[in-house]
This record gives sequence, C-alpha cells and structure tokens, in this order.
Amino acid sequence: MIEIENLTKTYRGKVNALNGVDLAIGTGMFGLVGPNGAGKTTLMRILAGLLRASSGRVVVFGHDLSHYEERQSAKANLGYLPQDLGLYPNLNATEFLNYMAILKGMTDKRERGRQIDGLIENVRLTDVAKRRLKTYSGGMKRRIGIAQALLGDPKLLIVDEPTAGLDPEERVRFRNLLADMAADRTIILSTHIVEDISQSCNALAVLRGGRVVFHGTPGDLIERARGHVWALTMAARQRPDERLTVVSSLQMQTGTQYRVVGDAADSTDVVQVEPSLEDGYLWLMQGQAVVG
Amino acid sequence: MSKLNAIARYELLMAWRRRSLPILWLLLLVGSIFFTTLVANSSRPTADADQADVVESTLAAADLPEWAQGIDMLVVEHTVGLFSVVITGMVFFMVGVTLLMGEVIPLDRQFKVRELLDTLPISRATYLVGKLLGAWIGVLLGILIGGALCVVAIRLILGIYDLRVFAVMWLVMLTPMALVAAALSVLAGSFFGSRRTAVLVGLLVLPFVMTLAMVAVPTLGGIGALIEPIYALVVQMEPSAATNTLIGQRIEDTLLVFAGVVLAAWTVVWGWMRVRSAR
Repeated sequence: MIEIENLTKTYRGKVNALNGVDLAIGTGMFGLVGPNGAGKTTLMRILAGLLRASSGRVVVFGHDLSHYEERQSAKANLGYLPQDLGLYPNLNATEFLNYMAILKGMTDKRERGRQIDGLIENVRLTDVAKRRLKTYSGGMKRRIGIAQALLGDPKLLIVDEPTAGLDPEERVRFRNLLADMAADRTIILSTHIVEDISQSCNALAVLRGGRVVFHGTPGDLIERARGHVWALTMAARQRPDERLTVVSSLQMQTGTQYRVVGDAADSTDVVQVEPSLEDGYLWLMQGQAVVG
Repeated sequence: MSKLNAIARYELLMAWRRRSLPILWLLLLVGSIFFTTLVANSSRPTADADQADVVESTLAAADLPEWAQGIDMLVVEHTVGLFSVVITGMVFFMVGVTLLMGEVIPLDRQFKVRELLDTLPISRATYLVGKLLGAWIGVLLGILIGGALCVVAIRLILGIYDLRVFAVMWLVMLTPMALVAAALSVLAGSFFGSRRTAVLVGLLVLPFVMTLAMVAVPTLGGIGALIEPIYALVVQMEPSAATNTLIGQRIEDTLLVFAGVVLAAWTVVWGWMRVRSAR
C-alpha cells in the first residue's frame, strides 16, 4: 500500500511541481496521466526515492520515505523504468542485467541467472543477449529497461512511459506482461497513451498543475464524459466550434467526420456517441481549463 | 560486499572495453621502455673511451667501504639508472591516470544510468568505494603487468640489474602515487556529468598530483636502500643503518599523508553527494 498525504514539491525558483497531492494506491495497476508538466514524473521520482518531498508524507509499504534508511528499505522492493533510460553501451544484455540484479541484492547466482534468462526471453532478446548494448535499437533498449525493472520480483513497479518506442505488437505484449504481474503487486504506470491505461489499469489519477484532478476507476472517468461526446460531419474547410475539443477527424467523400468532446447539443448534424477513456480525460481537461 | 565487488568488477570490465585501461597501461610501458633505452644509450661506454677512465673506475671500486665490497658496480650503475626509468614511467602513468580515471563517475550520468542506480538499494558510500576500487584495481593491474613486461624489456635493453631493487622501487613509487592520482581524479570527476568535463577537471587535478609526486619521489625512491644499503645513494644519502631507519620512517609518513589526502577528498565528495540527495 502506498499512502501519499499532502505532498508538495517545490523546485528552485519556486516552481511548484506538486501541490498538496493526496493519494492511496493499493495492489494492481495504477495509471497516472496528465499533460506535460503536470507533475507525474516528479511524483514518480519521489516514490522511487530519487527526489525528496518539500513537505507532506509518502509511505511505501510501511516505509516513510522522508528517512534515508527507510528509503533504502523501500528501494529493495522497487523496480523502476525511467522515461529517459540509459544503458552501459559496452556491456551486453546479460552482463547489464546481472550487474543490476546484484545491486538489487540478488545474491544467489543460480537464481539470478535463471531470472535473467527468463526475462531476456520474455522481452524476446535471447538471440542478441550477448551483443553489446550500444548496437541495440531504441525499442530493444526499452525492452532491456523493462527487463531490469522486473528483476528481483519487486513489490512496487514504477514505469514512466514504458511503451514509448515499442512497436504495436511489443506494446500489447508488455501491457499484458504488466497486467499479469499486477495481481500481487503495485504497478504505477505513467503514460500519455490513454489506451494503455484503459486496457490494463483498475485505478488511475489525473494530474494537472501539480494537483490531483481525478482519482478513481477508468469507468468513473468514462462516465464523466457521458452525454458530452459527439460525432459530427462537416463540409470541407469547415471546422467545429472552438469550444469543442476534437478527438479525431476522418476525411470522407461527404466531408469530414469529427469526434468531439464538449457541449455540442445545439449544433446540427450531431450524433451522441459512447464515450471512451480518452474522451473522459479530454472532458476532464476541458472542464479544468474552464475552471482554470 | 557483493554489491561493492560487482561495482568494482563491472567498472573494470567497462574501463577495459572502452579502452581506457589498455591506453593507460600502454602509456606506462611506453614511457618506461623509452626511458630505459635512453639510460642504456647514456651508460654504454663509447668506443673511444680512453684507458684512464677504466683505471679510475677500478680504483673507485677499490676505495669502496667494507659493506660495499663484492657488489657488482655495473649492476649498481644500471639499477641506479632505473630510478629515472621508474620516475618517467610514473609521470607518464600519472598523467594517464589523472586524465582517464576522472570519467568513471561522470560516465554514469552521460550514459543516463545514474538515475537507475539511484533507485537501487545501494548506499552512497558503497557506490563511491566501488567506483574507487574499480579504478584502483585497473591501476594496480597496470602496475603489475607493466612491471612484469618492463622487467624483461629492461633486461634485454640494459643488461643486468638488481631485480629486487627495481621491483620494490617500481611498486613503492608507482603504487601509492597512482592510487592517489586515481582517487583524486575519480572523486573530482564525480562533481561533473560528462567525460569531456572530467578530462578538463583531470587537467586541473594534474598539477596537484604532480606536486605531490615530486615531493614524495626523493623519499619513496630510497626504498632500495632497505634491500642493499648502497642504494641510499639513489636519494643522495649516506648508506647506514640510521639512514635505513630514516628512510623507513619517511616512507611511512609519506604514505600516511597520501592516505589523508584521499580520505579528505573522499569525505568532501561523500558529503556533497549526501547534500545533493537531500534536495
């Protein structure tokens, strides 16, 4: 269980990255979404023990992260995949994972070897496991990053944009891998790809301007947009009302079909459609913008 | 312990693969062998050396004190000449160590691995000591391998010499100096985030390291006297039991100063990392 109470992070120059965040995160997949600069990465870096909070309290599996020793204990149960992951170019995949595994505290050589081989197979890099990492493509490096995060069977897995750089097939594979692992651990997933969250998370939080503007299930967020999502067809060169957020547009022979979020009931040629998580997110952001 | 061991081991492996270690070891070997050749050329008698020089040399040997009787003066001459070979090797090696070892910690940032390492359950001290150990083992291996190759090369180039004295001079002069140079370079480099800056910082550290070396050379170079009293002459001291005691004491003091310098630098860096992580 992760408890976050009134968490604030102020960087130098009085930039408020987090502003009174309260969250309780249990077992399962937890999605973290929000626009750029919302504070997602700051929150995840605090949870990973990389940053200290300016104020507030963060407790990870009973370890209060404001104390160094507690933070170190929490790290023993952590798997982390940063957004901008780097690897040692002169090591091969097996060596790199072995190094990380030892540093994670996996002392049993046989168990370490077994787990490394399994993970390399899981991320489909067995054929290139002995090749230096500098020869890997972006997607392959990402997969090694995923493998290192899963080393040691961590109780808490924090993954920042995990599917960035992966092809669609790999993305689905990785999403399923995470979903399988979420049964008995907490996985915090930050992503811009709302589809990843809708397919795998049982809870999510939306951050904006360092605050939590939504905390609930994907279903709750979808419900918020119900009655505010429309499909409308317009002639070429015509654009929907500026107050509406365009989710997608499809060029057709009769004109352009738009999927929009907002209050479009008074427009002509509109059809109300079933909302998706992405619609819910955009509706929430639109509301926040109005409030803002 | 296994974490420390892993950091040191993988640091060594990576330094070898990015060619820092081979370059470093080559510098030591090239410097030493080059200077051995110079010493060999300067000590070789010229064809037109007159008979008077040879007689003078023989008389000088006859005038030697009792404790020096029976010592092969050619061996002594060659071995004393090796003092400058060791100094040259040391200078080449320390320049290399100072410039190449500073990259050890900055490379973790340059490769963007540092963030990942910071999420692992390793303490700052373990990280720092592991990195230092990795650098030190690389340096020590260079000294041992370079030394072994030099032993053969010197025998081929120069001829006979006192292997025991050369070996202790090589180890006692090179090891502490190179370890201090590596430590200062690694620790100073830890303030920065790229290989290029680390090399620039190495250039700033170099004069300090060289000053330390120049101050310590006259002391450490006397180590040969503890094997054969005549080698006190290397550091321009009168061979005697009292001299040996003095040399031993000075070497001990110098090593303590070196250890103090490393410890002070380590404390500063460790403290800085602690402050930085508290942000």
